[in-house]
Amino acid sequence: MALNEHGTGGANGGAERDPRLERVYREAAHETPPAHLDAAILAAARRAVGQPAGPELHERRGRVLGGRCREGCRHHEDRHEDPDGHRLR
Amino acid sequence: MKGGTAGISTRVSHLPAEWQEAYCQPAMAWNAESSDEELMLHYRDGDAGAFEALYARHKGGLYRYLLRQCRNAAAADELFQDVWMNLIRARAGYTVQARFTTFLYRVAHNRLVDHYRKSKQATVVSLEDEDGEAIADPPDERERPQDETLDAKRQAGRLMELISELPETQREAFLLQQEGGMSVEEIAQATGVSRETAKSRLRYAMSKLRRGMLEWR
Repeated sequence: MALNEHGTGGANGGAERDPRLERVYREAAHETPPAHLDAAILAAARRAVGQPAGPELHERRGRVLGGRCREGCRHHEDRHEDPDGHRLR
Repeated sequence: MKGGTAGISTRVSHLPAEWQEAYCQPAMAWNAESSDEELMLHYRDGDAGAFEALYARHKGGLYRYLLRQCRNAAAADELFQDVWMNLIRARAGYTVQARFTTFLYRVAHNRLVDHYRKSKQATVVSLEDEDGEAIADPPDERERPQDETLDAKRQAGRLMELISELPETQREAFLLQQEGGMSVEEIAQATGVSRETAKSRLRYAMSKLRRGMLEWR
């Protein structure tokens, strides 16, 4: 059985329950872990099964590769321009 | 949510027949309706997406349980991370022996006990003290007229105060019920006590909270 955020699964005893108290509690209890913990835990979970550490890594790699690509293009263009900036054939 | 495709191991021969049937399906994909146990088995078999789904389901409840039990955000953060890291490390040996929530909160309970031991914050409450308290049953709140002017936020704030004032073991029983969706039996399993003790803790917790809310009105 899948549980929701407040865990409605399970066969709980009647005498130890109070629907009104529980409703007030559910409306009040909304704290969640900080985002940096989410990221660290999910990255560790992926690493443990040999999967990439996460989108952040892909983005970093993408940025690095993109940067290198731009540098390469600039270098290529420089080689095809004369000192005055005119493009050479 | 997109499902995974990793196969499910058949190491479940110790389980009742209906559980074996559920967990011996070959290479089933998981989805949003998959049980926690199925997700954990998929993660054990290498599907990180199944872990993400499991984490999304339980991160809030587990975090609030730890936060209210240790009453220190920095310590709760540390314990929260430790519990999940323990789960990640233990994944290779995971077999379904109980509901996943019982397993998860058992790990969290043990980690909290270590924390109390180290920080010497533990308040030891004997079972005699808990069970011997004379708590009169409050009148049935449902019979009282609804107080229209009661501010919901103040009401919620008062309940949080009352929860924080509960003895540690009673607070834990209440939180395991509310955040873990656990039955009395599961609370007993997670905290390593008898069913009767768990039931008694939960009953006292509820009684004090009810009485506190009525007195406050």
